[in-house]
Amino acid sequence: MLDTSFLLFAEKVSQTDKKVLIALLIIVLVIIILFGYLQKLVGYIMYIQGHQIDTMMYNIMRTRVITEDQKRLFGKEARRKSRIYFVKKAWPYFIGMACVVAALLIYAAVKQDMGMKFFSKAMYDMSFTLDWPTTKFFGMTLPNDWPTLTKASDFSFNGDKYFSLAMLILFIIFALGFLIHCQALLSRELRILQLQRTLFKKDLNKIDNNHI
Amino acid sequence: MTEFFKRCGIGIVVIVTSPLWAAYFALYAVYGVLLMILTPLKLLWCLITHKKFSIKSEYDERAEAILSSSSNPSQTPINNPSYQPQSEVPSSQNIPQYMFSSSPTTSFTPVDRNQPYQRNNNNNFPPYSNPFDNSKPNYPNQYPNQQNNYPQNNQYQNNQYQDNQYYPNQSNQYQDNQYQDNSYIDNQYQDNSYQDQYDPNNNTYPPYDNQNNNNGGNY
Repeated sequence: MLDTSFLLFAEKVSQTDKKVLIALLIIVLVIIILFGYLQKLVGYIMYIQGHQIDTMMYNIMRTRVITEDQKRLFGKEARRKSRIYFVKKAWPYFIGMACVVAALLIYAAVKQDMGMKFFSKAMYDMSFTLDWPTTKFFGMTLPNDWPTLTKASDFSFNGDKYFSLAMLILFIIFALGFLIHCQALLSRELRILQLQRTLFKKDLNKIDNNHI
Repeated sequence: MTEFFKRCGIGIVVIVTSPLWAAYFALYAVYGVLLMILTPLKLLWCLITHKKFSIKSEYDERAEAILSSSSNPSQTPINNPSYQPQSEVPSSQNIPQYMFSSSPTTSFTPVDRNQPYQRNNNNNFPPYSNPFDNSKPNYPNQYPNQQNNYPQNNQYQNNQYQDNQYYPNQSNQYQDNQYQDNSYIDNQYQDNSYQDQYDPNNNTYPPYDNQNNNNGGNY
């Protein structure tokens, strides 16, 4: 029954539609594989970031200042160190973002344009617009050809334009650095949770039978 | 092939759960911004109240103290309830060698017959008296501590070395080692205050080197 349904479906679909379908499946597969390997990369980066906790807590655990009965104390101390470490590393990026925002606000105040219209106009002037030819495919609207350029970017010199562009680029750079450190903070928190599970687990296999 | 399908499966899971991950990450970004705003205030408060605000805490200081005082910290395992410290002699106590050996601890360097005897500092005699220094007069018992089991100086009054200023090989004469039963363990020199009884200006008696109170002398 499935074979006959598939044959009927294959007869209804034209050659063009078949090509589109195959292309769509390949794109979806590539996106899935991409996300799969992206997860591997992000997981590796978070593993390295999370092991900062091991470095910070190593001597304390090694000398048994915090023992295996003090799970909550371990978590409290590790999280305290993680927070301070985050502030220590991320404060330049945060200050940078704050300076960029302050510079934009001061410029807007000087131009008497607190709605920041000069910024939105600058972004519109520098952007471009594409026109995609589309087609209907089983109820979905999908592009079926290369796009055409309907509006080109305008990079003619304008103080507002270049100031807005510079501030945007700087903000993106500082924000990326800040977000990376936020990710590191998250990684360390996950590592603390993992260590609390494994390090403080009561395991009879760890007990030496010669020692009572 | 398995790895490929595994990656595809993980990719699907990531795409499906990506809104959750994005929300969790956004929450941590907001938490980070809050931390950046509140931490300077906390730092200011710690400055006013003279409290410490750094990554290193009292736990780190305790750990460093243990590591620096321990002679072999690498033998301390983490999370091992069965750990017992090894019974090795701590280096700080300077327990002398003779406590671990019943053999005579005296040693003599060979001396040229034509040379006068030079006292060897590497021998295991305590420096407070030189029983072989016949140039010094015989003293009465210099130590008020009568528990002293160390042979008295007057034992060497009639010593067999009077006729022989040089000591080619003394180890045989200490086969019956009178030091064998010495009880430096009891540390009879600890309360030795003989230094107070003698006038260093007269320099009539050799000074007692009282550096190591717990081991009965320098070795």
